Amino acid sequence: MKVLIIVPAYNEADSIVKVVNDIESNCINCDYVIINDCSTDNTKVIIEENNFNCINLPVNLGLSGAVQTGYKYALKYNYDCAIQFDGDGQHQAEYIDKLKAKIIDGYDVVIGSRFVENKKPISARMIGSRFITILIKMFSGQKINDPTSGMRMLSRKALQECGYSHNRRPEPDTLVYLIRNKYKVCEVQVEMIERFAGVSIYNGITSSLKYMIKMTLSIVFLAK
Amino acid sequence: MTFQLRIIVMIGVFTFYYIMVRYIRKSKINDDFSFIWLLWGLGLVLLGCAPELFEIISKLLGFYGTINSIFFVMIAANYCILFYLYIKTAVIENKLKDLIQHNSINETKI
Repeated sequence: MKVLIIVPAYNEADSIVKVVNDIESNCINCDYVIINDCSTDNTKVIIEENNFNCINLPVNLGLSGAVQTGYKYALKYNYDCAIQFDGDGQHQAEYIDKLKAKIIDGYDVVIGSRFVENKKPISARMIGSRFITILIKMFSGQKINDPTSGMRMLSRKALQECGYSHNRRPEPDTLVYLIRNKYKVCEVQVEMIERFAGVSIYNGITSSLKYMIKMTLSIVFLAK
Repeated sequence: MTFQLRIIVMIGVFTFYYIMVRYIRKSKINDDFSFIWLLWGLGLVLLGCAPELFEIISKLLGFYGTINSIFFVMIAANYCILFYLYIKTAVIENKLKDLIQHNSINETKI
């Protein structure tokens, strides 16, 4: 089974080498591609110096645009599945085989989840996550413990759905859409480590609130 | 509407038409958009020539005053144009994104 690891990277100069080293040492049978989303720091230079596989976007398309580029690449070069793997070092490549096994079992979307076996901690961010979990359960009927996890593996069928639609971004609302349209979605327990460099795109009250409002509206009204 | 105001409206509308036609001839704006603005100008011409017509229409539609109806129509029309432009912009943005992605993938040799 051909697996592509998509690494969206925006200003990840401090972590990208470690991420690629992790992939290369733990996933020998997988290909990877970094989607450099027009980084303004040294990310591009570091990638070129180390001769990493990379697609350079000439303008910043945001996370969903970058990941979608990876989906299109996977479809063009006939990969059987593709996984989004964050460039900030939070995800660990040793779990990719676990997700791949579920795709082989017939699932279309496999989420690398922090909370299948572990309990969610009590924090402002996790309150938001719980709220989205409830919304997903209400509108799709399936409980997703870690809806905001960026570690997601998609089968070719799901790639075709998400690669060419502008509204199928790698976010919880897409999960609702996919579940409602009979795609098989499951979660696999993984461990994630704290980002050691860079800043989250949802850092701060305003962006978090904006994200929550957008997701709520999208799940309630659009994910059909 | 006073005679002076009618003259001002007519001068304004004809200046607008002149600029519009110049832009169309130079191909700076496409036909879709010019059509909307030509209709808009036509409405203003009617307003300048026959304000009584608006008074009759307002009464028929149940507005308290002609001014109210004109404001209502203007605001509603602006919303429609704004929504139309929003859709156009979204479509262009999506096409641009597709183009950038397609181009970047094709330029890459791994």
